Amino acid sequence: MYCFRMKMMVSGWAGRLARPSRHQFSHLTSRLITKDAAARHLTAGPQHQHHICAKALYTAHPPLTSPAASRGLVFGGKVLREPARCLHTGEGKHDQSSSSSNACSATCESTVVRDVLEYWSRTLAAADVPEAHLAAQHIVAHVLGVTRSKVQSDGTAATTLTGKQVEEVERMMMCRLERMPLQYILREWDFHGITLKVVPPVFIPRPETEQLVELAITTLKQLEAPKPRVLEFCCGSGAISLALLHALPQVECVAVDQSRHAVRLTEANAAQLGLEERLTVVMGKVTVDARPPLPHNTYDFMVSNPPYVLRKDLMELQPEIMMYEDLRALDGGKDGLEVIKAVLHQAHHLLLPGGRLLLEVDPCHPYLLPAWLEKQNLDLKLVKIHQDFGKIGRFMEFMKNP
Amino acid sequence: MEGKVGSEVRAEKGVSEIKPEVKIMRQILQIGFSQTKTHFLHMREFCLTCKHVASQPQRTISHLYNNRSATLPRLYRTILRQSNERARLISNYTVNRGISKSSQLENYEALSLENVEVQKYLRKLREEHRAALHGEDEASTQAARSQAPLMRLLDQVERLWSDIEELCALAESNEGDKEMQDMAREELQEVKTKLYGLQEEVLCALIPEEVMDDRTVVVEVSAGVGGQEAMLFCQDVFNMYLSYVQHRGWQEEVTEYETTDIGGLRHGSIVVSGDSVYSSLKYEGGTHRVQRVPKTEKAGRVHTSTVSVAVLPQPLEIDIQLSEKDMKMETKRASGAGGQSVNTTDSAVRIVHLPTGLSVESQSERSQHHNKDKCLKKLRALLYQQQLDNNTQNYNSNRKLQVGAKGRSEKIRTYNFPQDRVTDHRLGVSMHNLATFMGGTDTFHDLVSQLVEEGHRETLQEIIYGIKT
Repeated sequence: MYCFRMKMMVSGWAGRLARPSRHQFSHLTSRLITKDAAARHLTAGPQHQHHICAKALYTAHPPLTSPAASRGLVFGGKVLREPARCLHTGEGKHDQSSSSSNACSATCESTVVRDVLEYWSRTLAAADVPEAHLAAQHIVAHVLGVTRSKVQSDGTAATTLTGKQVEEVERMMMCRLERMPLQYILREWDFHGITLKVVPPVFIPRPETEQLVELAITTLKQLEAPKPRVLEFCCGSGAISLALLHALPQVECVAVDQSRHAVRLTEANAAQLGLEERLTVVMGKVTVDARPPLPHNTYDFMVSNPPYVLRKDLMELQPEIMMYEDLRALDGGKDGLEVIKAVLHQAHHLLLPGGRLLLEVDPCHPYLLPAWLEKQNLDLKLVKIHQDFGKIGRFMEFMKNP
Repeated sequence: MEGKVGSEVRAEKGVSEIKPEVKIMRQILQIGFSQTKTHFLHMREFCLTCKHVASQPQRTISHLYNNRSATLPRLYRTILRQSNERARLISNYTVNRGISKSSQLENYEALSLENVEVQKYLRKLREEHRAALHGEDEASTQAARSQAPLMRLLDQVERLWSDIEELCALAESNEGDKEMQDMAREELQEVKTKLYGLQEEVLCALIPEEVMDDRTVVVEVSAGVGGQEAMLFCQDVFNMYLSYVQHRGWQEEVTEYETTDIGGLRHGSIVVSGDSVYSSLKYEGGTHRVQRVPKTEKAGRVHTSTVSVAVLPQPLEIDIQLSEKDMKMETKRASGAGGQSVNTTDSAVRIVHLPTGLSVESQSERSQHHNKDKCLKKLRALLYQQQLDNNTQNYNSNRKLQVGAKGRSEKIRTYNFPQDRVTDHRLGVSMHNLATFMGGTDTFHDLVSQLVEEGHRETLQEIIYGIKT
C-alpha cells in the first residue's frame, strides 16, 4: 500500500516544478492528521486518487494483521492490488517488507511496550524510513506520556498498552511509514529552551537555528538599549523570536511571515508559552522594495532564517521535507538569495545605526553575498561569518554603519 | 551467636580462678581508659563485634565516654578482663581494621587553649597578623582584614587570662579578708566559664570555611555486590537519604530512579540544595554494607551485600572554565548541506575534551541544544571531580574521615539487621534501632553531626600540629 501511494506521488510530481505539486501533497498531509480542520485552510483542488489513499490510510487501523492486507488493501469492497514494483524501494526490498509484516503480525498483537517497540522499529526500518528505532521510541513515549529515556527502562518496557493506545500508536506509525516528519506526527518538538507546537505545513525548526539563537542572545546581551526591539523576518513557527523572548525577559519582538499558517502557529505558540505580550506577529511578504506595515520604524537588532535552499537542490530533498513541509519556507530562488536580498534591503531601512543583522544562510552564500553587497548601495557591512557545529560557514552577521 | 556467648562464659570462669591474670587485666584496663577516646571507641567496637550487643541498652557513645569511669556496663569490664590474649586481639583487631592508623592523632589531648601547641599556633597567627598589618601590598591588607575577627577574639581571651591571674592572686593571697577571697573565687568561676565559651568560639574560628559547604550536591546511590538483595537495600538507603533531606528542609529533586521488577533500585540520584548540604553529607560517600536475611532468601541465611553512595558537589561555571577550542563536538547530523535541507530527529551530542581525553554524551533530550548543555554540565562535573581528587590526595592520608571524602570504594558503615544495629566504621560508633535510623530523621542526624564534629576536630588537629605528608 505504501509503495502504491509512493508511486502515485512520484508520478504526481515528476516532471513538474516542486511548487504546484506541493499543494496536492499538503492536502494529503492535512487529511492524515486532522480529518476536517486542515482541509479548510488548504485550497488546492483534491485529486481523486490521493483522496482515496488518504482516507484508506486514515481508516486503516490494523491493516497489516488481516490476511488480505498482506496482499493488498480491501477498500470499499474492492481489493487494491499492490503494484508489482515499487519505484522508491525496488522490488527486492518490497518483497522483504511485505514478508516481514507477515512474520510480525503475531508480535504486533502483543501490547507489551517492548514488543510494540521492537515490531515497529523493524517495520519502519524495513520500509527504509530513516531513524526507525528512534521514531518508534518517540511515538510510544508520546502515546504513554513519558520521556523517551523512560520507555527504554525495563519497568516501562514491561507494561502493556491499552486498546486506545495501541490504536494511537498504529495511526502514528502509519503516518511515519508515509514519511511524515516525526515532529508533525507528535505535533510538538523542543527548540532551544522551549517546546513548540509544530503543525504541517509550517517549516520545522532545525538544530542549526538553535545556534543562530545562541548567537543572537550573545549579541543582544551586549546591547546597551534597556528594552531592545527585535525584528524577525520569516518566523515560521516563531521558534527564533520565542526562544529569544524566553531567554531574555527585557526583549520585545516583531515577527513577520507571509504564510497565514505560520502566523497563526506563531501566535498559538506565543500564547502557549505566555509570551504573547512582548510579541507582535505581522503577516505579509517581504521583497526588495516592499514590506508589510510594522509597529515601529526602527529596530535594535534583526534576525532571520529566510528560505535559502537553491532551487536546483530543492528537487533532491528528503521525502519528509518534499511532501510535507511548505516549500515556500525553503525555496530561496535560483541562487538561494532571493529572500536574503530582500531582508538585507529592508535591514538597510529598519536597523538603527550600529544595529546588527544575523542571518542563517546556505554554505555557498558566504562566498556569493559579499560580492553582491559591494555592488549595492546599502549601509551594511559584513562583520563576521560564524560556523555551525559541522564547521560550515552558516551564519552571517551584518552591521549597519553608524 | 549463642555459641560464642557460651564459650566466653566458659572462658570467664577459667579466667576468674587465676588471680594474677585478673590483676594484669585490670592494669591493661586502666591503661586503656587513661588512653584517648579513640582507643576507647575501638574497644567498644570490638565488644560489639563480639556480639554482646543485643542485650545493651541504647546509648550514644559520647554518653558512655563521658561517664566511662562511673557507669561502664559490667559486661564490658568482664569481657575486657578476660585475658592477655584478648588484649592482644584488641590491638590486632584495631590495626587490621585500619582504624588506628591515625596513631599520631590518637594520642592527642582534648584541644583547649591551655594546650602548648595551640598556644604556639595562636602566637604564630598573631605574628602573621602583625606582619600583615605592616605589609603594604594588597594581599597582606586583605589577609589582615580576614584575620581581624579572630584577633579580636584572641584579645578577649588574653584579657580574661590576665583577669584570671589577678583573681587567683587575690584569692590565694593571705592579705585581705575572707569575704574578699570568696568574692574573688566566685568571680574566678564566672570568668572561667566565660573563657570556656570563648575557647569554643576560637577553635571554631580556626577552622577555615570550606568553599563548597553550601554547594548543591548530587547524592548517587547504586546497588553493589549482592544482586537483588543489594538492589532492595539500595532502595532503602535511597529512601533514607530522601527522608533525611526532607527532614532537614533542603530542596530535593530526584533525577534518576532506575527500578527493578520486584521493587529494588538499581541506581538513583538526588540533587540536593540548601544550607550546608555538602558539609553535612560529605561523609556519606562510600560503601554501605548490609547484613540481613533477604526477602528472597528461603533458607533463612544472613546475606551480606553492599550499596555504594557517592556525594558529588556540583561545580559552578566559574570553577571549571571550558574553552571552545578545547572541545570537539560531534553530532549525528548528516554532513553535507545541513540546515534547512535536512530534517532529522536524532539530537544526540558527544563532546570530547581534548586536553584530558574525557568524553561525554547525551541523547535523552529532543533538542540538540539541551543535549549539548547536559554534556557540558557532565563534563564540568567530571573535571571538577578530578580536580578535587587531586586536591584530596595532597591531604594527609592519615585522616580517618577522608574515606568518605575521597574514595568510593571503602566500607564506611554496616547495617546489621539481625542485631538491629548500625555501625559507622570511621567513628567506631554503633547505634541501635535500625528502623528509626533508616527513617532518616533525628537518629540519623545524630550520626551525621558526630561525623561533622569529628571532621572538625581532625581539621583542627591538622592545622595545629601541622601534620602534612
